[in-house]
Amino acid sequence: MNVLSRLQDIDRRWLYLALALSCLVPFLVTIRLPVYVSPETRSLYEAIDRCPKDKVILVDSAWDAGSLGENWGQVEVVFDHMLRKGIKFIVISLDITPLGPQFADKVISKLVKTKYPYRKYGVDWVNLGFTKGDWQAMQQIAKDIRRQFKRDSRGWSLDDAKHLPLMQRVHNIDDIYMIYSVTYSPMENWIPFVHGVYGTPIGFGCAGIQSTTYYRYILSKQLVGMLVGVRGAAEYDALLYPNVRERQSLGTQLIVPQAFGHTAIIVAVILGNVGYFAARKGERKVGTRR
Amino acid sequence: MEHAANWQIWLAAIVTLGIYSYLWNDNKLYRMLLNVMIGLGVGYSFIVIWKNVLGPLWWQPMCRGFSAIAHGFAPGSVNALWILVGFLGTLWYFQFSRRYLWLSRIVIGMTLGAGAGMTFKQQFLLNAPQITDSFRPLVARADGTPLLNGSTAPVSFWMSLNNIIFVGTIVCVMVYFLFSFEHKSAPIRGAAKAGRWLLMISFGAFFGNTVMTRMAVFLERLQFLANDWGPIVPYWVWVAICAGLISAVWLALRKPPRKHTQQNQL
Repeated sequence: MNVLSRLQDIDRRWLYLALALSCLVPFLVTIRLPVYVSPETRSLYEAIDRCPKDKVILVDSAWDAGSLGENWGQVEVVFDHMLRKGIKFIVISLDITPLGPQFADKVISKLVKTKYPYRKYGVDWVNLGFTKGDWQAMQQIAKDIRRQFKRDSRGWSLDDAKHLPLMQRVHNIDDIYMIYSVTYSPMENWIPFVHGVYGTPIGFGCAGIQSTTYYRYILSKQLVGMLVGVRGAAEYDALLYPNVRERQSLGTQLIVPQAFGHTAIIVAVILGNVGYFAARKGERKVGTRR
Repeated sequence: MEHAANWQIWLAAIVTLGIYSYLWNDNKLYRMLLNVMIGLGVGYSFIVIWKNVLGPLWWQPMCRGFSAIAHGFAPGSVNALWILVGFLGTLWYFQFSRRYLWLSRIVIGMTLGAGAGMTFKQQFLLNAPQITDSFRPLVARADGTPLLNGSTAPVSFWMSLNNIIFVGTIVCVMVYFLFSFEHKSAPIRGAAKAGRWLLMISFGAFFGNTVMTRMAVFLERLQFLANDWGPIVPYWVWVAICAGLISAVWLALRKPPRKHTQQNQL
């Protein structure tokens, strides 16, 4: 067995170590790489930017620690956009994880504390908490949001005008400009049961692994836009803050280590293939001698 | 982690490293942490579902309904009928009884009926626009319209090429999945072969995205370890970690990981 053929027998733990070290470098040294904005990210940004003043955006933030790496950045940049522009929004967490509302609160409270201390809960945004029901819940929300949610995540009644003035002008789908669903794998049922029936624009923020199945909805204009993994979050951040030094979202923080990690994987794939072909060539030579 | 106390960061770091210890080999710490995570998730979900869904949408209206009945059929008594929903729900549990299994079939039938109706609507509204969108002009103008529709927009080479690739891919992949007859003629065989290659490319895109997602999950944890946990770790812990890593590497060089043989799997 020659040296090259041994490349396909590298202990997987060496690869893990090489990957961890290559990803660690950008956390220790500041490295910036250019970000190119994809059409699906730009169209989502433009759709949210067009939200009329008298309407709200419904954010289905149904993710937790399992997909935090991708989904945190995806809601962070959109919340940042809406808080900056004064677009009112309602957060819900439908079906997937009961931890969704807490994670959304964490993202919003961080933004409010660091950038928008003048934005107030109940006036600029409301968190209605977790609910279940898939397509039935979607239809209930579209017809009358109070039939699905009696109280918000803090326990205030939706009819409490003192604590939730925003909810006094939100009753059904007519008051909702668009729906932005962020989770590992957003529920496709938003498309037939809300967009298909009422024409409300839908945007998705999904894990990269799921994006391939959703691109077809962008082509057919059933989705208005989509943020794909960390890349989508970093691209949206680039649209929000053209100056690279102002970008602080998790997406931007993770995109450079991700590029390093991908490079390490590509190198490992090339080495593995070199080892494979070297081993095959060696076997042929042995066969010829025999 | 915003405003997290040091002990919380330490706990999160230990759990993270404990879970990642699986990369070295399966071990008891990993299994214990996995069971703790599952237990926490299930327990928390049960409470939240009761508090946010079953309580306000079923239990409380039903109780108000019975209360109204007790007050001489006051308005809202009809809400007591929610008890029927609870009754239907409990029928599912007759799955565990051989004698009364037939009771569970009532509610299974109702669920299947509702599901079939919903799926018909869902599939129609989901896929009809997809089919409509697949009809594209092969020579397209810049505004996306066909050549012969009276538009004044110039012909777009890139849009036309895009549409040709799109329609060509659909046709080739559909030909590949035509199994009702043998692919004898050269055009059919060529289209089926092209369809197979195009499918391979899409699977490659799937795999690339899979790597991207797994990497993002890992990077978030790495960032936590480097930025949140790293600064509060005393130097002697770092020394111990480095010593552990060096000895682990040394062990790896001496003893290769146990391979999963077919016998082991059995």
